[in-house]
Amino acid sequence: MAKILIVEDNESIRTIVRMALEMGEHEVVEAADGREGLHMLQTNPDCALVITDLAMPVMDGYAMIARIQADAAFAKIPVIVLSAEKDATAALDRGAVRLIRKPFSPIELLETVSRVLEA
Amino acid sequence: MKGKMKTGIAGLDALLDGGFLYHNAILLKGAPGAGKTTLGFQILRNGILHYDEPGLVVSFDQFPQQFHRDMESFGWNVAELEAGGKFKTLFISPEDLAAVAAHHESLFLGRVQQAAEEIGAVRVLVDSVSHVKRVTNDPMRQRTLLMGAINEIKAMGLTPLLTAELGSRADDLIDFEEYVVDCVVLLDLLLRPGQPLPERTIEIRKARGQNCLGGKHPFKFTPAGIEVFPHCVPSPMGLEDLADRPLANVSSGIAGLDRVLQGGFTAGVPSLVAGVSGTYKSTMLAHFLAAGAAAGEPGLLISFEEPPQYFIQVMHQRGIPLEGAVRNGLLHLWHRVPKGTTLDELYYQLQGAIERYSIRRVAIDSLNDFERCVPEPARCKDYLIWFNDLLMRRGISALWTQKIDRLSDRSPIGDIRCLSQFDTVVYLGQVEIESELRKVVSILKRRGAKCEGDLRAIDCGPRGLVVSDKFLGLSGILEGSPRGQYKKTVEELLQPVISARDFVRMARSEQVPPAQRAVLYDNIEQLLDQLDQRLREHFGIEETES
Repeated sequence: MAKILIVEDNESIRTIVRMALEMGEHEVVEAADGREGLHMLQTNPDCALVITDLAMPVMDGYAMIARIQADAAFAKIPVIVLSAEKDATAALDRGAVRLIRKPFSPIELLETVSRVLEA
Repeated sequence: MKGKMKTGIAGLDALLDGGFLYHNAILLKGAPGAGKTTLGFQILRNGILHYDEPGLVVSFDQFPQQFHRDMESFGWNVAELEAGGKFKTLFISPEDLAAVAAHHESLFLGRVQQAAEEIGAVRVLVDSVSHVKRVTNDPMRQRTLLMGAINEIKAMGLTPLLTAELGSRADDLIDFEEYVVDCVVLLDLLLRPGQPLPERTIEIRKARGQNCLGGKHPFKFTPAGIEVFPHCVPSPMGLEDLADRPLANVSSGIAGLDRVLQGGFTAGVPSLVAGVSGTYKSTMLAHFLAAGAAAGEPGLLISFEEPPQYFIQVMHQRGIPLEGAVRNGLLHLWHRVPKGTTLDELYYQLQGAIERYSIRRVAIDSLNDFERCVPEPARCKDYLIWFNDLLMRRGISALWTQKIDRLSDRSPIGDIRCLSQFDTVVYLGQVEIESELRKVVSILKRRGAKCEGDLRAIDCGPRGLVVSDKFLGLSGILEGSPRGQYKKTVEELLQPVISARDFVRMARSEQVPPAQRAVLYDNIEQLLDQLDQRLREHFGIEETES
């Protein structure tokens, strides 16, 4: 199974994503904003996937995705966006591979994660 | 005589550092209608009633009936005083003064001495010495005449209070009377543009041999006579003023707001509730005062707009009963009209009320109206500082309201005045969220303590205000134009339901090993606990012990 980074400022949502991923027997690391997410990536370079929110304090999801894309060491790590924003599809243009709308189904999240990891 | 001759007018005695010196000649000077005779007689009457000092009135001005009638308009019964044997009035023709002028045997002074001895007078009011100017046109003779009469009266062991008319305002020259007396009290009348009533001021222009507080101080005629309101003059606050007061919190009276404030407002310092019209600012004051009353802390509401009875009725309808606190003396309600109130008067009355009722909480509705009481806008902040200084020195928790206009889309912090004068600033606003007008509350400032700094919904329920929702992830609320979806509902309420349902489905699957099923049940329980907590917050339901 894979190591997955969750970047989400809402702790309740982070917990639910972690619960779902652990059901899929994935290893989970967590960050509360984009800047912390980048730091976690540097300390966990073996992460196979990033799941991120967009609206976050300090550094939002858009900025973090742009930084991941710009860094050769992480550019190949797929990013799934988890957002309630109406215009979140813009994240797909900036390098995210999937968009999951909140509120989300943990079962569907696990299925999407599996598909992305298999791709 | 030892000590000071108290006037019995608390504010005036405060200006005089306790009262006049005995045997000093005191000139009460002012324009017609300024209150010279009233003030003089009040000092005389207070001497008789409160200090056992009989008094004599020597009048050149009025007929006895007229004098009696004027004084009785304040409820002062002159005839009754006379019957008590400690008061006498002498009505003397101004021409009698001519005898003094001519160094002849003075009928006038002889009558004064006789009357004074009859009642054992200590105070004598001479109304008015301006008649000296009718006796002779020679300024030197006028001066000599007055000085002679004053010295004679002093020699009789009396303390003379002399009224005199004020010269023309354009005339800056000081009248000779001021040089021959020991104290000069100036009464003035000023009608400012836009003010319906004249502003009356009193000034101790001269006080030989004693300390006094200079400057012009407001006074007013009340049904009980003249009241003087010394200007607020705070002295620098020393460490000793606050040293024995640890920082504590006082409840706002709203459980949800106390949680946001992490315990409530800071005790003993001023806080502000600022917001647009119709966002429960006054209701927040009612909660604040009700919480004080419930804790046995006497409170005072100073309202410039709503009459107290109406305030009580409205708050009763909103589920915040205050009638009991009023009945029990734990809540005092003052209504003041901005155009008819001077802040010096209010300050003075507040000082008195704090002592009299042991006030611990003060609510002032509103700073806008408070500012309207100040004729010179540049001095508004000075008065606010003085009031807050008074309240802080006494360790009183104060809550002010401020109505702000949100004409721009800036953060409201830019619309709030005098921010630096308040320890805590609570913002109340209205925003449209998904086609619904919602009221929101936020803590914009919290000195010396942590605060969450986020936005929550505020609503009025059957028992007053309830602070609940946290508008997570919604930007632009403070600017009045929230952007994005109402994420709170989605993330905090809907998401746990959907997740719990999915986990139930997973747990039902026969392929799930027992250990994983146990984890799923734990997850479901955790989600339901979270949902329970969020729903209670959302609807303002207190947790019950089970």
